[in-house]
Amino acid sequence: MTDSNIRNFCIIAHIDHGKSTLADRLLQATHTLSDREMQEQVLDSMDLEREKGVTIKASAVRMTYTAQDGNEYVLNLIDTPGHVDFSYEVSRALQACEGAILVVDATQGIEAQTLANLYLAIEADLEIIPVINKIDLPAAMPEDVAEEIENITGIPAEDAIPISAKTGENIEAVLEAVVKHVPPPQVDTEKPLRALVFDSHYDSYKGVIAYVRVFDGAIHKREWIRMMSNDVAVEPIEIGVFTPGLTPTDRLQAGEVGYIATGLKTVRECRVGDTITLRDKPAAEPLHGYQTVKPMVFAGFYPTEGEDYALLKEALERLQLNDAALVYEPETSTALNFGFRCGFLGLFHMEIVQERLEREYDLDLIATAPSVRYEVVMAHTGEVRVIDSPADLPDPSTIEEVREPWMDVQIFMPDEYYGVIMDLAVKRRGQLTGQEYPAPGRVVLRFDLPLSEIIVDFYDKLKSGTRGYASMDYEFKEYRASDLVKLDVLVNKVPVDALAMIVHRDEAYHRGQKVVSALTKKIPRQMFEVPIQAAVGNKVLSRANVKALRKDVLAKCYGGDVSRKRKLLEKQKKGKKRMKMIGTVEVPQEAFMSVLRLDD
Amino acid sequence: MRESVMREGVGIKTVYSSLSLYLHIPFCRHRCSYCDFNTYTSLADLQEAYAAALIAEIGQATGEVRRPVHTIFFGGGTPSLMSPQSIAGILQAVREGFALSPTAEITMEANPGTVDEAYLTVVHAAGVNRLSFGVQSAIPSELQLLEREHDFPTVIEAVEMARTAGLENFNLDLIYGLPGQTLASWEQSLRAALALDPAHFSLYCLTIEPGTPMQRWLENGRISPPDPDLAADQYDLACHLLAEAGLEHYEISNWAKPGLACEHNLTYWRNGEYLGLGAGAHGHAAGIRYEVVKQPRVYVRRMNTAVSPPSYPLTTAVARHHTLTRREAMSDTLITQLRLLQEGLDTAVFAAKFGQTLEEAYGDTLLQLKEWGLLEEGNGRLLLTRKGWFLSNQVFYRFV
Ligand SMILES: Nc1nc2c(ncn2[C@@H]2O[C@H](COP(=O)(O)OP(=O)(O)OP(=O)(O)O)[C@@H](O)[C@H]2O)c(=O)[nH]1
Ligand code: SF4
Ligand SMILES: [Mg+2]
Repeated sequence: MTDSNIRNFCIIAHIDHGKSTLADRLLQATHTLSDREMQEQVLDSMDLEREKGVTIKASAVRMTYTAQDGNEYVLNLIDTPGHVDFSYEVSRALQACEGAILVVDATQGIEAQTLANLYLAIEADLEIIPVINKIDLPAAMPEDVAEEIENITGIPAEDAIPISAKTGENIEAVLEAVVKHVPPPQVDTEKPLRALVFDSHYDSYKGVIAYVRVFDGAIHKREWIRMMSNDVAVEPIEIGVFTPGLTPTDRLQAGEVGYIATGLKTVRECRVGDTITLRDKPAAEPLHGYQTVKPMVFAGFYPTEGEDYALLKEALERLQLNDAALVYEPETSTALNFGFRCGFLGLFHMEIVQERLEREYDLDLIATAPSVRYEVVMAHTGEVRVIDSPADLPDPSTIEEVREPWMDVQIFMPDEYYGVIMDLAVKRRGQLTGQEYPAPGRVVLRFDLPLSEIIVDFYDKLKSGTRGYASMDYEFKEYRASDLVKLDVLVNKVPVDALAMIVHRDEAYHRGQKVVSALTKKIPRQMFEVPIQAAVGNKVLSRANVKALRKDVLAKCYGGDVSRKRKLLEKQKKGKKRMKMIGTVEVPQEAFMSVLRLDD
Repeated sequence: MRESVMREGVGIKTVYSSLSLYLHIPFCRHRCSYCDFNTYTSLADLQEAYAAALIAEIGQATGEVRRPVHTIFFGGGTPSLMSPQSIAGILQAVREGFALSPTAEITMEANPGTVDEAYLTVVHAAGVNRLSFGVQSAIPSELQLLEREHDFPTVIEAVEMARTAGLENFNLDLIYGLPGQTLASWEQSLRAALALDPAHFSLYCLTIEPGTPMQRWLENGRISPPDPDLAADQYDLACHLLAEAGLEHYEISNWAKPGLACEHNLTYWRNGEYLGLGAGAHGHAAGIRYEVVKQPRVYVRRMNTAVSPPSYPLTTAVARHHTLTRREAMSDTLITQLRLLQEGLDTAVFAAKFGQTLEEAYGDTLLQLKEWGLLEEGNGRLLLTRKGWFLSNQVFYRFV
């Protein structure tokens, strides 16, 4: 049976092409939100999203629309993020839909994530509705972009709908296309319940709130449910739909998108990707879940105040519920004490997680330099060890080889930047594997590049070198052996674990010098001279000294003002308390940060 | 020169230790570029009212008995801007309210160029017997940078006038660690000042204070930050030159001819008792540290409003006060007494006063500081080492 009045669709695009703004217009056109409730990119509800103007999490909303055919439809829309780090959010959203609106910016044309997300949608067997946005802009070239879409995707140019999400021009046409072209979900409300958990968040009153797409059957409020992966059974506190706030309903049925407030307290009990069924009328088989996303980039997170360790632990637990891609485990460092080794999908993801932790949980964190995950093949035994922290790299004499992840990278750009990008990629050990000219004046270069090179400001370089016109997409290709060494940083002859890094041998000298010079500037002078060194094994590549402090005297004790002197001394003392001890050297937080923030 | 008197009561004997008095005069003609002192350049019309207020405060501070006083210090600001009548009136008030020792040291800060022989003769007659001149440098460009109003020839004149007026005992203030100052220019200033044969030297390392013009210049790049290593060399040079000239280095920043150390400063460094009178002055007596309101107008108003004064040592002009805890008193003792390079801290006196030895109170810290060669102990005294003179903050902050 089909529920012919329901349409489930998502909006996909390259970053900043106007997905969330289009969602705003759809919400208005369907009177889901009143003008008073409306604000720009209303679905970007997180503070961080609003501030950065970027969607981080997919969000779902239910609308009702009376079409030109006179029928009323229930439209379930999912707005998705455009950034490459969050493409897993897109793939999850796709599984809850039958159609996708592909937004392309009329001034930019097709970019890297346009294609990447399009292919994901095609793979998920969705009906694609191409939309050309921002036609209000003078630089808009809707005809050229339509042709580009036809060239690359095979969708006829005349099918693309030109709109302005800003002015609202032609929005009605988008809604009509959704009703006409997106197929209604194939559903059977009589079968036992099967609902896929595609996201979740934690609420202190209602526990874990699972965002679900119901594929089979139906659930009524107060009906006991069961998580199929672990047999946890519970009576939900509430079920409902997104409007876009949580609105309770009595029933959720096959084909619909909504939420189940489970009352469960931990992530483990209600995982994203799990299938929810009814306790008393269980399904035999769970739905096809999600492939677990593999983190690619790793870093240590440490609270600047040691007492905050417990809070950080709790914060990570809670955040993981809302961000299934985040992984973490405890880690200790002699320099930074107790913290967590965390895994992320990319640098942007890492930055977002750090900011959310600091903001939503009022933490102050130090992050160590991001690292990739290496495979270390041991000599003699041939055993392969996987490490994601430079500190874990075994003694070089025991190692047969070290392998690092290489990525298949696609870079889209106007052809005038060909040389700039070639230079950049080659400097980063890139190997050209292909090039295409999808449209006049546009080129796509394909490289194999080590991920470790990408995570050191590659993206910034790419953007600054092309005045923002290049875009990039990448995915994991394979592990390859490389000539990698561990670069140690020693303060007064003591290695600082948090600053160690794994680098290509050719880069070691250059990186070592940078670290040493940055540290030398940031470590205050001590009672004795402190040598700062960068070394590979026993070989010192760079060295500088922090000279011993010679003079530290307070000026005039003015008119017997001992209290003022005291205050200054107390301030000095307080400053010292916040320092970390490396051996007998007091190193301020700031010194670590300056090194960790180093770029080329 | 420390004195005490006994009050004979009916079978009660109370011993009052002798006090020092600090009297603040918050007026200057022009504000120097590095100055963040409590001083004002546009309040000349307030001077007389201010003197009257100060006299009233002295009256309040007296308390119920006439306590002995052995030093008075007129600090500023520029005390030498006050009329000699005001100075005489203020000293008269002190004599009425306190038992001022006939041999008391009475110092007045004076800026070269603000005094003449007649003025000095009159204040000398009123009781002032020591002067402190703000010289700062003998180099014209440095004086300009500091925005001082005098040049070095004016200093020479002022010193001559002081001598003629019978004021042989004077101090010269100099500043090192200035942006643009070199070791050679510093030596030149030192030698020029030594040639005037002063009884006393105070040498201060410049700190660039927030809110001063100099700090703005530093921020906008008009001047570059002083090099701390050069300042260390300059200090080192001063130690040698002044020792050669026969001056005793008795406190981190102070040198004196034998027997002519500043008694008033010694009260501070011995963590002794002093009353602070006048706008923004600080005092320490009866286990209390306090601070008088800063604004001269507010100060005058407070002293003109009749309210019954709080108990000794406070007056109605006191803005803030704090009763010292035992721990604070202990660390105050350390951070003041250790500044006295020859005298240091008497460990037995410390233990007797606080019922706890230094080791018991600061064991590990002491060990560490001795290990670094910043402190040494001998003959029952704890002293800064020569290295410690340069790094005294590193010692002191560990005690607060
Ligand atoms: N002139 C014009 N600007 C638009 C239009 N649509 C979106 N924008 C602007 O483009 C920028 C990006 O819009 P968003 O809606 O946040 O884009 P997005 O695709 O959701 O971005 P991500 O979620 O970060 O991938 C914003 O500044 C919008 O105001 C349009 O039709 N015309
Ligand atoms: S003379 Fe002294 S108090 Fe007056 S402004 Fe100059 S430095 Fe400040
Ligand atoms: Mg968005």
